Amino acid sequence: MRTHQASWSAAQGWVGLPEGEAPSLVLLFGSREALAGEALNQLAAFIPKERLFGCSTAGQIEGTRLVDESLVATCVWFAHSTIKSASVRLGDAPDVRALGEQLSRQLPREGLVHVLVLSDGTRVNGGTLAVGLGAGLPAHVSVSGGLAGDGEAMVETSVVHEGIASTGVISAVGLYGAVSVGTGTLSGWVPFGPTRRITKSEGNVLTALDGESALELYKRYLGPHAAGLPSSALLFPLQVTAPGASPLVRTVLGVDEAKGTLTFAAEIPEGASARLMHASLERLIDGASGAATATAVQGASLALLVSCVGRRMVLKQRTEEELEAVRAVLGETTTLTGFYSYGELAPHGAGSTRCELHNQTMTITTFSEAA
Amino acid sequence: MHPLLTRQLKRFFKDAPPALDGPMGQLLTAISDAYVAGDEERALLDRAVTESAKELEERNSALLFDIARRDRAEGERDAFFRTSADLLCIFDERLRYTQVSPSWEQSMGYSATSLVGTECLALVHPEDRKVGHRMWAELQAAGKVTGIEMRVRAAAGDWRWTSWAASYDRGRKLIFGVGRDVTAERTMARELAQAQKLEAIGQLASGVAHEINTPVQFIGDNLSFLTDSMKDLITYLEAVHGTLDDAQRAKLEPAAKKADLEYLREEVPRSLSESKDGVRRVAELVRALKEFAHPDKPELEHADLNRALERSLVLARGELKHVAKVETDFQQLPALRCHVGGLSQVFLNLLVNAAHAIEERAVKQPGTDWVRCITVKTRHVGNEVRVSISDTGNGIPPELRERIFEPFFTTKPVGKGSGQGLPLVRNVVIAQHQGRVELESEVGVGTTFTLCLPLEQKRQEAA
Repeated sequence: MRTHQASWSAAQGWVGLPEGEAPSLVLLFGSREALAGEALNQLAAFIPKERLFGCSTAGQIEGTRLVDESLVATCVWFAHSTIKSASVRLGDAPDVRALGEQLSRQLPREGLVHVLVLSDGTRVNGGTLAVGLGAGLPAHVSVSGGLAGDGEAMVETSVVHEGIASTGVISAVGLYGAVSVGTGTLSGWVPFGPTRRITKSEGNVLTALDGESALELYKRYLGPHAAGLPSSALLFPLQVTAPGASPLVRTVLGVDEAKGTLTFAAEIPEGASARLMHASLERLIDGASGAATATAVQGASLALLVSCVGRRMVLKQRTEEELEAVRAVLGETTTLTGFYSYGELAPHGAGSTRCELHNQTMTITTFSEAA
Repeated sequence: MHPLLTRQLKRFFKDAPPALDGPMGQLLTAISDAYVAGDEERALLDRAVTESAKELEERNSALLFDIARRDRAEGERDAFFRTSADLLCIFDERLRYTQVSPSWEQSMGYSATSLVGTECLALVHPEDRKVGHRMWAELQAAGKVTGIEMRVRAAAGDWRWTSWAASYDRGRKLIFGVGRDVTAERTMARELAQAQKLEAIGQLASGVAHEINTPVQFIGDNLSFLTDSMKDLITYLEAVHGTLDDAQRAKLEPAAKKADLEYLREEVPRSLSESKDGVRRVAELVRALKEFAHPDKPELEHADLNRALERSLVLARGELKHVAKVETDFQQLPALRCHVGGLSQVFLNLLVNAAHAIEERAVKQPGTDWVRCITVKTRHVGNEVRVSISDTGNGIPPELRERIFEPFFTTKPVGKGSGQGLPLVRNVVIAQHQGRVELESEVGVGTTFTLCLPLEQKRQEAA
């Protein structure tokens, strides 16, 4: 297994495109605008379209560099592994769970090791998608990936499936053969303040915590930052613990001032407990390092990093420090790519293959093949 | 530019500040942004800490208030548990005590530590255990039961009738039981029923006695008239016989022989005398019955106990006459202020018991040579009157002597004993007359009950 990275910028066009044998898989991440332009067609002239997958981002990762308004293409040549792809398109009122299951069932099961999923980031309830994906796959097959981003705008995202970028698409790439996959996810956020009960919610829309308006609570804590809602709510994710389940981090995607509600990236079950979370820069960077350690793979050929846009908003100029922290754990020989997302998909803990939606985490998937 | 960075630039570059265009300008802008971001983050965290601390303080106050309220409620519940006179207990699903109230020690003699962990049905009377199992089944089905009565053994060994209500908490897998010792109530109810029955029988007997009394009187009067008339008739016949000549006598001889006049002259007066005796005994029985059945007045009244005993002997004669001979040894007694009806019942119970004891011995040891005798004695000793009734029955084994006064305890066959005779004796003598009952018994020899009744007593007029 070998990798090669090329990049595109408006100023320089494509730099470092590979020559010779066509790669087995190309992962392409970039701004929505860049993906909508000619750059994608230029790339498709070099590389078979059916091996080209990616999505729009809130910042893409090239090694330990965070870049915007550009494209990063990571080419992968597998020695003993193959890929198969599938996609579904969202309708007007999509049944995301059913679509997730339908998507995963499109992939042949024999020899399937792992499924990489890239989804529209603004129209999909990632938690429901994770449940649907899991329902359509054998228990031993792991799933990871993320929800596409749109900078900090949260307006529209696109997904590149077999060389074509479009909105309202969920794409899956099945990996078959001798590829070895490791996953790790960690946030670095810590809960603070009182534990609250979710007293009114429906689906992923939260109305009240302990009988108090959840929107008012967020405004009180955000103070002057309340003017920046909904994106400023990323500063205070919510730790949600359903009875008998592990705690999950959930971030606010939208606000309805008229109804006084907050819309989250996934289900907010009534009756579950919730706590606000915060993080120091050091904790977030340590979280990224911990996610890399959790993959339990050293010397992997490729690492796909999907980190939450909320982390970037907190880390600001220091965002690349979390990429450097991952590099320090995985080593210099591992190619790092990935993107800042609107939601991360990966199993929750070591030994688990059940895919879940995460927010505010650094989620890492490593790939390697035996020599 | 962040004020701190502006000051730093002034301090370090003095009058020659760096140009703010080009890479140096970009660097300074980035540094300024980092300062601003740091300030914002600190302000945000400070706000979060302040808001959070305020909320936690409010919740803490609410929690402390809740804890105080809960402590008070728990304290009140504990006090209720500690002070309740009812038998409160908690069982697990294996029907083992997990908690019992202190009332168990006070009324049943069991300490909490001796009961916790033990199986509750072990204390239940063997005949009532099926009631206990049914109660548990009903609890599982309905969650609650009330009014279940069963006998529970007290630490002293006696059986107490207890009434239970219980509820089943499936979540906690516990049963909460409330029991009450209803032995006294049951005894009272039985005694009341018995008293009502006796009163009814007494009224009936009184009515029958009254109805019998009138014919008995005119039968007695007629018999006296017949006796006198017969005597006159015989005198007249003898006078007539003296006036007859031999021929007349010879002529009447066959008719005299046929009528067996000699025999009639001898036997008719005797038959009439025996009939009069029989009528007298009927009259005596009727009178005893009337007096016995006469309802007690609520207040005490003076009575002659010897006479009451004689009356009871008359009534018990049917039970006694084929079983044993009865010997009486009555001393002259001062009049005793008492409820004579109750005492008469006591004497009757003891006499019947004595007869049964002798009968039982006769069955168990047939053919043995012993005197079947019931002795009734009265004595005036000091400030009390003593009545003793002895039998030569089998005697009472020592292990049963404590228990014979328990309500419903009986060794008699079903239908012969209700187990209420001796409890009544104790109740009448001790509770109503402040007296005492002494028991002497030797197995194979016999039993003597002595009732000691004080002449001077602080009376409860309506005991």
